Amino acid sequence: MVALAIALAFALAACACAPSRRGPDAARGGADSTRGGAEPAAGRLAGYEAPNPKPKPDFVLTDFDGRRFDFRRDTAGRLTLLFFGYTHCPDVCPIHMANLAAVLSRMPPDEASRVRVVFVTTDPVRDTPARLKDWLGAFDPAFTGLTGTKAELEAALRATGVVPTVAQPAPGDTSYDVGHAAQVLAYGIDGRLRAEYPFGTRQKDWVHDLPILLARAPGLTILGAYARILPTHDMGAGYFTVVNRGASADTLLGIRVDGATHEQLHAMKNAGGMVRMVPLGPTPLAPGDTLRLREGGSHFMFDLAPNASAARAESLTVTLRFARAGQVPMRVPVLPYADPAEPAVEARAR
Amino acid sequence: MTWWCAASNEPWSWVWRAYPGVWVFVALLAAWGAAALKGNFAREAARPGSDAPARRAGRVAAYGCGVLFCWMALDWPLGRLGGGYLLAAHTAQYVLLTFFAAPLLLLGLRRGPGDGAGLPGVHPLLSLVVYNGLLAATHVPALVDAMMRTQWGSAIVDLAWLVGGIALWWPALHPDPERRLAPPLRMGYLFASTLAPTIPAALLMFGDYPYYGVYELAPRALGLSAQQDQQLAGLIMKVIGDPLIWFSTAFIFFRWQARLERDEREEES
Repeated sequence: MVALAIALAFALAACACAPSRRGPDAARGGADSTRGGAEPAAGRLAGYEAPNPKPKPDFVLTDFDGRRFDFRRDTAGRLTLLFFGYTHCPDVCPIHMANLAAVLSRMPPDEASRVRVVFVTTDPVRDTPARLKDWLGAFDPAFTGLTGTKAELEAALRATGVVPTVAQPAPGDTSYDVGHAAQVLAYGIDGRLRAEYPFGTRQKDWVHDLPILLARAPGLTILGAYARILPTHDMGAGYFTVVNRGASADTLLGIRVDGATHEQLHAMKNAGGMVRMVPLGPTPLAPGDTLRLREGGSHFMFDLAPNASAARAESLTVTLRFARAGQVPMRVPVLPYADPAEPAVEARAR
Repeated sequence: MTWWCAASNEPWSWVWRAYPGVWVFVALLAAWGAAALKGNFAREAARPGSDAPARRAGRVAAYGCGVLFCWMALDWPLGRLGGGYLLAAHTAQYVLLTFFAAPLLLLGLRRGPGDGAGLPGVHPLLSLVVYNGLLAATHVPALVDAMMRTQWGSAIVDLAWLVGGIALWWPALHPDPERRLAPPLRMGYLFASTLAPTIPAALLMFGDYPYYGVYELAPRALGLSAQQDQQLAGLIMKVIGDPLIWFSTAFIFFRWQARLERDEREEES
């Protein structure tokens, strides 16, 4: 009974606790770091969603290998997490970086590779390229560190629209603090600001939000994805709905299911009173179009190796391939095969 | 000046900090214990034929060590680290207060045979419920995150562990030895006490992500990531706490066996 109470308490609390620390950096001009409330609704972000998504800022700085880095161009097509900080930062910067590194290291590699973390120094005097590389490399060697002249960095801050940095070191002082914005800015793969993550963002928030942000292809909304696997654990089928809410047409070209040996999109075709399953070829989606894959109708099928771990997984990583939006990964929950009713699965990706 | 260790959001530093609230608590504990020991010794001295005086030094040492463990757990540096930096240090505080300080304080307060009047006896099941209840409450992430941000909250969590430890050890180390559980029951009781903490320890060791915001978002200390810190905390809870209980159980068993053999020899002779 007591053991049950402890487990229950942990489970409840693990779902309920909310970040609420306010760091000194935040107090010096960052975004509000106090976050309250419960878990976000399905499909909603834990971060602060940008009501009017601004385009990715246009600035050019120098990376820690000495190469010019055009932020807009060199991060195109990837979910980009931009943060302004400094390596001598005692709290906010290392915690943000450590939490991002911890979460990315546990994401499926193909999803993690679609996320780019860019750290722009606010302390170019002490943050030499070598120091930036060492410091960021300690979290994740894939993180990118940028520096530049004072004027270039100020221009980058202005272009991004975050508060300017504050540092007034006394002559000879090498242990000064730098006030800076404390939020991580998340730019979607469409190149627009999608959400902000103040200090206080927890790893569980990133775990929740990154797959959603990755699945937000330009103009495309993917809803209600789920899959069922046969009791023999060697094949399954899945369903989802794609809505093109963008201004441009796109085409669904194919699908990939992680852990599957073979996968295919299928349509049901009535030929002479016989309903047959045929491959679903490239499917155009004009603006406003909806493609619905449902039980008894179009669907995707996949074969699994008999002992594949995916065969008993609670969710699958499924990647849709579009002509314009590119690869759009999503997490697809695996539902019990025996449940005959089509489930009311909330949006898994938007 | 802060009077009790709690989350401060400042970077960790090895610069010594004063926590007068901890000193006052430890001084009161020592003073109260000294008065209790003095009373115990006086009652024993008045009882002819008592062999208790020979054990006085041991009891003073046990109580003194109990106070020392309290001080170590609550004061700088462990108290500060556990108050707002490392869950592993927070768990080390729990282990010190529950498994070291509490039993030593009780051993120190041991009274002579028949001198237990006025001391409550507690049913072992009630002790387990109190101990496990406090253990569960003080490990609930939302509660820990709320409590550890204030000095009062942090002090309440620390003291709850000491109270929980005394509740846990009371049936096994009751100050009146005649009112302790019989050795076989005592061993079973102590074994049962190790079961429930396995759950939070396992959750800490094998959790995918940090449970406690207060430690996840704290300035890093001693080079531990939040995840490593949490795993270490789970390890400390089981690797230090459990063996101590097993050691105590083994000690009770061998002493019990020795007494049985002695009784048999006496009967034969």
